[in-house]
Amino acid sequence: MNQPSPSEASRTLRGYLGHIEYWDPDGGDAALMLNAREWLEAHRSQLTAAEQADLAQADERLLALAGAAVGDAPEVAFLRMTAEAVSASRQRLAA
Amino acid sequence: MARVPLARGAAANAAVGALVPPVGFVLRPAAGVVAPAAGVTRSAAADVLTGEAIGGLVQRAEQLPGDLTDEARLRQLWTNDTSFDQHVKRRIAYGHATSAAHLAELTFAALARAQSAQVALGEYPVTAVESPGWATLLTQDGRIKTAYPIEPDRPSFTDNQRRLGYTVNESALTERSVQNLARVFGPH
Repeated sequence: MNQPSPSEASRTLRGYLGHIEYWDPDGGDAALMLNAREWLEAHRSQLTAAEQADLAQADERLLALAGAAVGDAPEVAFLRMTAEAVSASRQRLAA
Repeated sequence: MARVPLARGAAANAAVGALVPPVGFVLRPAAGVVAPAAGVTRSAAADVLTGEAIGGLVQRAEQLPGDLTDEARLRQLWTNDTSFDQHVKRRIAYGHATSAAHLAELTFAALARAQSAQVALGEYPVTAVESPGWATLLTQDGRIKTAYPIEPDRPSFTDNQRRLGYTVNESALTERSVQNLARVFGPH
């Protein structure tokens, strides 16, 4: 039986999770992580409850990663922008 | 296209933490960017950087043993082994590729039909070689830094680099660059 194609939201969430898990300060593609997090924020309603829980866990790890990052290389700058996006999201959810 | 003799010097210095801007550029340390020197248009400077990056990539690829698998070949062209391994895992996580071999297939096919490039003028310039649907980012000395699909509904390379405050210049690929990329990375 064919499996249904994963939704764009699920695919993007997996990418965001993977980017955090396999973070590389020399990777050159951290902008994609920021883009993925912003996309997920704009399409949060498409995530299931379980996926939203996964996103919240991933955000925790992202914030820890950003807190430990040093320097101001472009990859770190994108990491911090992603952390800012996460913080803004949390504030919106808490409001 | 004229060679940029100091580019190799810049790469070597970058490895030990110093920075020598490429010929035709000056460094603006406070802004963390390189900028064209007086009398050099930004467009001309971007073309020189693109030529240098692609020339470095082609030269390195030509020097590899002919019996390497595509995966091993891509690994050799990457900035370093650790970064390559992490990159493959990220591409698989995003669903962009299914394996390192698949990533190599996609990247080489894209380079063989490259059409344009964008150069981000940060402290260390990065050239994005673009083909329909795929971007391959090169360091100034032509090592592959990352490669991923271009998704029309997401911010582009240019959009993202501008968020860092960098200037991005579109750079035409010379006929020679197009031919070299097709020869080295096209089907044999």
